[in-house]
Amino acid sequence: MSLNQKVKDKLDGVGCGFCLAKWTQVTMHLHNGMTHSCHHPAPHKIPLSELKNNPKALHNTKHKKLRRREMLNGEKPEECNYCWKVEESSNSFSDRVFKSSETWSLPHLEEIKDMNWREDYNPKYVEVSFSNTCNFKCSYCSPMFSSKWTEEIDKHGGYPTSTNFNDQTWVKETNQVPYKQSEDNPYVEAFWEWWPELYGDLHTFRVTGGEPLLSKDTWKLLEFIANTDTPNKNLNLSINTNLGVPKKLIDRFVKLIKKIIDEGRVKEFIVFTSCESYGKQAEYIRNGLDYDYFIENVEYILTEIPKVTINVMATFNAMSVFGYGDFIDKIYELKVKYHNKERYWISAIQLDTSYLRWPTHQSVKILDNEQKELILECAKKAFYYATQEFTHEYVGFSDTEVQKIKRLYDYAISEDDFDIETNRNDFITFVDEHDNRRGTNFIETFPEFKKLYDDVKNTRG
Amino acid sequence: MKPFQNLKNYTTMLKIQEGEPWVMWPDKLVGNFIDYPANKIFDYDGDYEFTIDFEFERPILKKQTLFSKLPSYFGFDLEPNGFTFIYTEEDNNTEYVSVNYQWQHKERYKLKILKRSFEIFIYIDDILIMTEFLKTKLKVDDISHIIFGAGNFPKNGFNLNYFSVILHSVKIIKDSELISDHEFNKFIHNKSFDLTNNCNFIYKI
Repeated sequence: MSLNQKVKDKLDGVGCGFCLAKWTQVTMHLHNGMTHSCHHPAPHKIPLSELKNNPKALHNTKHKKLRRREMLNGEKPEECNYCWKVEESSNSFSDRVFKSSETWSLPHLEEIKDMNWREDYNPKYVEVSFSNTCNFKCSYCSPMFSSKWTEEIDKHGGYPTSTNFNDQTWVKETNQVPYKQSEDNPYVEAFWEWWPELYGDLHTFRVTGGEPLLSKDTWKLLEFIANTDTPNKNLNLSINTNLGVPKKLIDRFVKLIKKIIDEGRVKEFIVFTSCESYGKQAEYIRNGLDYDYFIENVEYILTEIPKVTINVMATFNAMSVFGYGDFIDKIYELKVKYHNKERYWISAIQLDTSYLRWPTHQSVKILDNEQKELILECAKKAFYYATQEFTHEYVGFSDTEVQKIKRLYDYAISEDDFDIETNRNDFITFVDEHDNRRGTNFIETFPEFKKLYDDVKNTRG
Repeated sequence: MKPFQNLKNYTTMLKIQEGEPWVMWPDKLVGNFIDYPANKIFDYDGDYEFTIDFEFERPILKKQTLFSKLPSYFGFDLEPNGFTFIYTEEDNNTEYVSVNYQWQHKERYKLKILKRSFEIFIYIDDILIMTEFLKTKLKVDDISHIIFGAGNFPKNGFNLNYFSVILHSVKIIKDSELISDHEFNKFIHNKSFDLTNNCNFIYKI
């Protein structure tokens, strides 16, 4: 019997909807007071009234406790529908099983199943965003996660696409407007109240944003870990950064991380960053990015901190397709150049390709067939760079890195009800408005899109 | 730029050093990428052609393996006065067929193994040298791979029969479709570029 099947049987022994992630995992968007355990259920608002006397309510909200009660009573919470659909429609294991199998979940099964649903629980896998402050406004991002986007939307409103892209009316109506960094944020205050107790229980802690290196709380956190007398040496610490902040902040970051690592204060430290193309095209996709400076910082970190791995999360979108092959070359070059046997993860740098679902106008689905074939060519290139064995002895792309690019191609050519006409039209509307607002030049940056651009314009007459 | 546009021609041959064999086994590196990995060709129940253009610089003084398909053996060994063609039948019986042939070092040879239904034809330089009638189907493996320049992986330490050989081309045709084509003029990350763009690459072990 496979491990996954064993775990599923154990979970089902408690209840058919039982999932450890509801206790062990949390993402806390402190910048707007939203939380969820795994990423499948939509985040819900943390009531300030619950936080007043109990900072643990950042994770242990009444809402979540009621879902835990359902799980312990053999019910399936509606908000976890994603997993129920997987389980009902196939023999595949759902994320309920995978998340519960993780080393930060499974060891706590007995303890959790015997708990009263009303009890608070300190999560083991925590992602936290202190602030939406960011110096970038990436094309697929939103004001919720970028203060630069907030400024633009406050000034110009949503983009004139059919979806009114990034219009903030709904965010305001649902009380999800992010706190400014200069404002008092009761969620961040609650976090710091909880932190001394939470820290010791953590298996994994990941700081996201916004741009974390522009948040004073990130620095407070790193300073704490670098200086505490009782470090949690089993902690897997990671940070998402755009690596586009001023050099003095990069220097400060490297210095702190070196201290944390050299003094054995964490089990591992991973840098997550993002880029999804090469050169000018990457800069267009991620407004604010200086590609050469980004690569310079990647190399600086890999040089200065020989144990660190950098994971590049690439949200592959329609504008990635022409430069991604060159970007794969660059990643390979860095893998080879910075390969050593002491990295926490096997590669010095990893490329984690996922496909963009939203905004749909930027999806690879808008590409024509010839352009979609370029994705397959990218996957093939990564395949040639594949390592014989994914161990410290060899260098190259892992099976997973290659498969993820291939999966993207499969997604691009899959048949569904995607509305190409509307989304292409929205895409051109978006880039025109982008050029107007930001002083960019879409066709100059992406001459490969000239035909699609002209075709859409011509159909408008 | 298209992903493979900047590939340059480096050489026009693959020089396999004795004791340093190469292998065709792309699906070991990344599974489910290729619809029909060419390293499974000798398992194929239908018709196929496997052509290898090679030369060697020193006289043949002992058994030396040009290529071998594992784990159920299918291979071709050069010997001082001939060659042995080896294949494994469905019932695990291994057949060894030895044929006299005079090899000359520093000469190029084109070996073609042609399978049509239950017959295997072996040509050298377009001359039919032998015909073998198969009694059963050939043994099929889940993890077939073709080693060039040895009869086994060096780490296994037996039946190695290393061969220092120069490969000029390898072509594999399944039914009538060319599914792998190597002229050894383009290499990426120690992998010979498959000119069909099917990624059936050959790489250094």
